Amino acid sequence: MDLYTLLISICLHECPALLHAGALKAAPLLWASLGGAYSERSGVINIGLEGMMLIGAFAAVAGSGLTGNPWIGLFVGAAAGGLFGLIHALAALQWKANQIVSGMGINIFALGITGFLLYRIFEARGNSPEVTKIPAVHGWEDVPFLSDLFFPFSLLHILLLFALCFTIFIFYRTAFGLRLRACGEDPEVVKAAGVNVSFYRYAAVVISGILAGIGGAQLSLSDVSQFSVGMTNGRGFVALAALICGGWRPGRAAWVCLFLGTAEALGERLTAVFPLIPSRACQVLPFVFALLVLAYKRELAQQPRALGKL
Amino acid sequence: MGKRIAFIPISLFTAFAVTGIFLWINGFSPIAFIRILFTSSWGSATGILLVLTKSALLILTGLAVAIPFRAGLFNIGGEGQMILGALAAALIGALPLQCIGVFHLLLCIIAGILCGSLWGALAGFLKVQRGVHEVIGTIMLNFIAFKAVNELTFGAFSADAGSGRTSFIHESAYMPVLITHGAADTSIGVLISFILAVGLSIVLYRTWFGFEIRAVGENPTASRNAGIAVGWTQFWTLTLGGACAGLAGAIETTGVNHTFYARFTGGLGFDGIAVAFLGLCEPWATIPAALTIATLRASDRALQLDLGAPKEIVFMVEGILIICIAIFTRRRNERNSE
Repeated sequence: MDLYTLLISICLHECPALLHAGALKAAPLLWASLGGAYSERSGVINIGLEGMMLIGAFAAVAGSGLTGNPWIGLFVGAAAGGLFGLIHALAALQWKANQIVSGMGINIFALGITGFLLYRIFEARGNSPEVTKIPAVHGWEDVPFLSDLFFPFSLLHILLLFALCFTIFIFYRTAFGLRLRACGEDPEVVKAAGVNVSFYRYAAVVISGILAGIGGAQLSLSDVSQFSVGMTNGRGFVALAALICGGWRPGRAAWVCLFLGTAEALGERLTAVFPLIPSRACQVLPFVFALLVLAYKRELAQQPRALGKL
Repeated sequence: MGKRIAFIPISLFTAFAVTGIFLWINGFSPIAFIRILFTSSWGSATGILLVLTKSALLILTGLAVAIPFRAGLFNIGGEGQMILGALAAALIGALPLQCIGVFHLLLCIIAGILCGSLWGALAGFLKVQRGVHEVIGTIMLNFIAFKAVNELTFGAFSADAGSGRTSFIHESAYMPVLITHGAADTSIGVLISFILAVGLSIVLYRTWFGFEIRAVGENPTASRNAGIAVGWTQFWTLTLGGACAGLAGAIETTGVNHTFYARFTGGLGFDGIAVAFLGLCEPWATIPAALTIATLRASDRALQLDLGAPKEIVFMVEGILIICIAIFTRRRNERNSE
């Protein structure tokens, strides 16, 4: 193969395939990042995203496995995530718990309860049986560039794009979003304006749980079709870091997620092409890069002023 | 004091009550759960040794969270710091240095402490110099440590191809055994961790450095006005926290595993958070707190075998416990955040 054909093949096939794989990997991160944006912009630290994703992933598989309908599974997953969000909100807002400690508690509790329920519902340890997954969309098989770039994707990915646009719209174009962001900057002023700060924060943390739960469902019911113990594997933390790298803005966080996902996909693909490059070493790169970005762009780390304070 | 510690039995009771009810709904006997929990841990000499061995690690990872928290910092990186400490100890321990006798063991431990504190110091540098919040910094450093160590144990440092562990360390690097009973034993790592917990309490309340840590934690602005180098204090407390976690890893390698594999911690680094807060972030109080959590952790296998409940049930107890503690310690947190 001469250089010219190689270049053509890279441009027409490898690059779009890489972007596609990266976008698929970024999707669960972005769900959780969007969730984190609601919670953190309202002033509640949500380190429990990891646990909310995990319970969402499990509940989605349980719902789909018991009813045979993946959409019911998705709904159950979102509801379970929202329930965990409510627990975090109660602890943090009603009882004024330390939000970081409470979030870590949520993570460990989720690990425990999913392992237990996995055994109760599926009589399985470690991995659940395969369940009906959310259908994927194929198409344009004979169009070289576009089919690699866009297909296949699941219907949940379309929902994700809607959720992203909707979140940006809510944040910057509605009174609800303005008030929510104000709660995170200066709750005293918001209170003085006659707005119920608690309501906004409760709503934000529950929405955050729902979105993280859907992110978990994306992992277990769309990317694969089964649940395994601890399958989120730190993605909730990565999503939080992506949110912070994006300066707590949903749009920028989406780009960071896409970057992190693509970097992960690149690591896997590099090893497939050049076996000498260790893929596990490449997995370090997104994290190193995210840290460097955070360290270099100081102003990005301007958090909502009332974050973590009540 | 009385009011401050009243929440501990309440939290423990809540955690066990909620888990018990949950078990009962699902057709398991909560009484049997409690019985197996205690007989498998404190009911036999083997069980007690296991609890002690685990509590050595938990005390140290607890200190890794508790000390920085007294300076107002949240070190979530205990797990990564511990893994690096364990790997460093395993690599030094596998070097053919039998001729230097006990110094081989000392070298291992120092290497572990250095690697752990380096990882803590990195988080401290990012926090103080570059304004990266320490929670995010330590989480990221955790991932970097996990992934890098995973690569190294399967690649460069692998004992034989694909085994996922390093070579066994030489006997000159073994931690001396403190108590032995049948096949079970516990190393002097338990003693080291107990002494360190008490010692750090003394440092915290009887030295300048300890005073600065507490001052920075209580009120950074006032500390700065009083001439305390707030940034340096934060940097050094995170380094100290990393050193504790690194020591935990070194003790686990030299005292228990005698080799290194990436999954050895099983989340014990994160349990440090539970230990630290159960002990109100008082260094000496990490000892009873660690014994409590170690009891849970030591009985998970017995629960799975005898009760038939999956071993993840102990994570439920622990998670509820942490949430309860987060709720009940709020007054202290409010004071710290001012």
